[in-house]
Amino acid sequence: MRRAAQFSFALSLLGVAIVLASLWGSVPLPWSDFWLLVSDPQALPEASRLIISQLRLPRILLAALVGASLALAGCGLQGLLRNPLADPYIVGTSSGASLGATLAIVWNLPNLTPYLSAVPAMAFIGALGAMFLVYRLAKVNNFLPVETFLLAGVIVGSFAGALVSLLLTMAGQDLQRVMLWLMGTLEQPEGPATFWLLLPYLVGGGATLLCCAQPLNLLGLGEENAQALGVNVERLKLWVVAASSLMTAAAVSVAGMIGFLGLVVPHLTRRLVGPDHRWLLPLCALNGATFLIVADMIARVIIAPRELPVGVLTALVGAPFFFFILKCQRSN
Amino acid sequence: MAPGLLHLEGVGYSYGERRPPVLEDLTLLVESGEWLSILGANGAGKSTLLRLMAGLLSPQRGRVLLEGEDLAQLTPRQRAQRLAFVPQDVRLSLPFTCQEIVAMGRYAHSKFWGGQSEGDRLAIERAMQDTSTLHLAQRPISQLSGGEAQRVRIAQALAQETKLLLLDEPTSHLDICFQLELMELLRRLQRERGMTIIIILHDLNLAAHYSQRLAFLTGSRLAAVGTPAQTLTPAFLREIFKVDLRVEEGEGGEKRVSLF
Repeated sequence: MRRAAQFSFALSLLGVAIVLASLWGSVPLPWSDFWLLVSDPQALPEASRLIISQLRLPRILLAALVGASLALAGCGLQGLLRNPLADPYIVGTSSGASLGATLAIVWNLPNLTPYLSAVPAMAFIGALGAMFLVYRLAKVNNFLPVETFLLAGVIVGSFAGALVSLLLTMAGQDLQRVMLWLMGTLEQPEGPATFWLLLPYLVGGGATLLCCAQPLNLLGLGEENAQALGVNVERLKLWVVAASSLMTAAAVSVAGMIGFLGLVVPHLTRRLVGPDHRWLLPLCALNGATFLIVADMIARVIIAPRELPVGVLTALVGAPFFFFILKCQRSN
Repeated sequence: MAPGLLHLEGVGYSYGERRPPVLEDLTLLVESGEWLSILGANGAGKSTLLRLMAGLLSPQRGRVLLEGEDLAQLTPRQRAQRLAFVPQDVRLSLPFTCQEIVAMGRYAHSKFWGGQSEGDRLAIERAMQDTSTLHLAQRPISQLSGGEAQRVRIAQALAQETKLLLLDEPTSHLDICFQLELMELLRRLQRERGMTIIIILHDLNLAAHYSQRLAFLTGSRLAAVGTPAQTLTPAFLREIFKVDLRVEEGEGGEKRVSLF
């Protein structure tokens, strides 16, 4: 019963966020427009219909996908590493993606297809490369010790970061484009196509993590205890790392570095619903989607007509908020 | 005597190819329904031996057979359906309740996504009844005392419903009262349920009182296996622990070991 209530609450929050984000923007729309859209789309003024269906809804859907992916990846990795401070970028995918994106911008690579521009494609390749490198470095005799995994993530991340800085100092005029990408934005020239590109990763990764939910709970008892209870610990690590990295890679390559979400959302959701991954994972996905839709809405309007990169906003709001939560936790 | 349950055949193990072996050419037959205590100085390889017996480590040389089947050939789930292992006491700071912790013992039996059958529920309840932890069911494991938490961990292993139970120093960090309570619980399980107990102990007197056989490890080899009466002699204990110990015979011929 409590679970059902938590689910419906998270779902209604998501619904409210979608309604708000489709009405609010640099051109605010009246509430009545949303009712019309739901009840009688034909009666909607042409301008409103275009704004909602062509501009805002695709962006809302993209925000939902990216938010859900990052939150799920964060939740999976926090469970795997048994560390509530792990985030999806810890595996080095983000730095790999930055390197790929920077290369695409600096080399001015042409688009592969009309639906897929070079920057996300290269970012995805970079992210996958980093992921495999981290995995190779961290593996010791067919085992994946958590400590070497974290260390390898840091090493690959710093190295890729250094390469990005080197490229930036050499190519001056592209600096702004790279910086904008690094800060993270959901403004997508390709629109709905990006959504369809990203969807399989969320569905596949999310389903994989859900299958790992009960073993992840057992892993909380310690690796040895989980193994003794019948969990194939090394295989579990492989699945969780692969699913989380792929989801992060896909999200980062289209939306850039949206920081803090993958850390804060699983952390807060865990405090609300408890440690059971069977409930925690789906709720993280819902809350991550809501979080990014709201953050993106604010980023669109706060300095209108210009736009704040949503990654800047999530970090600006997220960091003090997180600090506040931790502070409250302490004093209790 | 009942047929052998667990059979180690010339088992050798080392952590890494260039490291010296922790265990060498170890052969041992554990009978069904007996209580075997593993003793030895620190670093003698007791924990490694127990992990090999539990199938958590695979021997580089030799085999470990459980009822004639090679442990290394079983999947983790199959293994967990047939033997239970209680690791050394690590404080759990998880916010799971005791009932949830015990229910995790059913992982190897349960269906996809941890759905519970009637059999699962019965096994969980019986394990908690046996360990007198039913009243703790809804308490978070992190709020329990050391003794209570240890009972919950044993309940988790009992929920696996196996014939063989392996425990790694379950009495360390427990005061004398909890130690005795735990030992009595294990004896009850052995006598009433016919469970086989393999346990690492440090206290020679506890081991002598409760075990049918003692296995002493020293220098990566099995120094002796036998009843307390056969093995607890001053000369032998000096060889193992490098100290002079007094051995007295108490009532019923039971051996008592003391330092002073």
